Amino acid sequence: MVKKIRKKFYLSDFEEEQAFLSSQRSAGWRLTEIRGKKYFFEECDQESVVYQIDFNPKEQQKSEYIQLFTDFGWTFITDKEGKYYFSKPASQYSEDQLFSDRETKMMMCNKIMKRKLIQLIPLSVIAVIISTVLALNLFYLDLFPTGILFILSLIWIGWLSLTLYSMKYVSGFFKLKKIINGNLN
Amino acid sequence: MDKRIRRFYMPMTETSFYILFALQNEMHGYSIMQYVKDLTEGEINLGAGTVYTSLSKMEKDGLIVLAKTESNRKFYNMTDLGREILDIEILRIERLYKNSRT
Repeated sequence: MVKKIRKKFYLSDFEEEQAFLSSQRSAGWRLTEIRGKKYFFEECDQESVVYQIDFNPKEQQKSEYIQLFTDFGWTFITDKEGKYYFSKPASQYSEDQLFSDRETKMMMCNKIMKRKLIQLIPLSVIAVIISTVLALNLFYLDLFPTGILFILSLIWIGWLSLTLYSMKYVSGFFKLKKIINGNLN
Repeated sequence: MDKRIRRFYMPMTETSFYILFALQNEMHGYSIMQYVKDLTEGEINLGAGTVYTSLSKMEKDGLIVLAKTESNRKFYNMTDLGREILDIEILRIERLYKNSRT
């Protein structure tokens, strides 16, 4: 049997994503594939399995990269937008975290932060364009009633989404900082 | 020596030290982990991501160099720069040890 779950995880929520996959596995569902926001699972025995995600968007030698993780006992499942999904039976006596020291974990979190900042660029451009249009309309152009309405709704929607996004982004940064400073088990 | 490299590797993290130390002989990722584990009697168990990230960074910084790729495994060797940095680190650790004993 196969099932599909729609779920959205932000890049900075990779620890929640790992826990989600692990809990599915202990309920007897094994991750097979991820397409967009859809996670595909296959029915399997209920097992305790560790899931770990590595963010490595610039990797060019994928087969060598995956081979190294396989040597360490990790099973490669799939990759999506620079995120690589690995699993390992929890009973196995060995390192069950991908990162064993703070520095390398920090390097991965920094890659996520960089990606998040890049993702913010289009939003900032849109915000600048909205404010420019608004300023031009206010000071240089004649405003039609429909124009006012249109711009007001634009500002409203713009601010609303900006606030929501920035809150999500800021909390993401704080979370990554906490992950870096937190104990590595 | 590059200032950036000096700042990052002096002093070096324990992980970086052991990985660079292991690469006095040609090795690949998993054999480095095994070597360090044996050397420290299981005390230091390097994670796959940690080894991979460290190797990529050290290769980029010119401390190690890719010697060969065999059945998808990348074997690395220390460069002259790597040797220089490791020797400086060993001296620093010896001094640290000596001073902590007096």
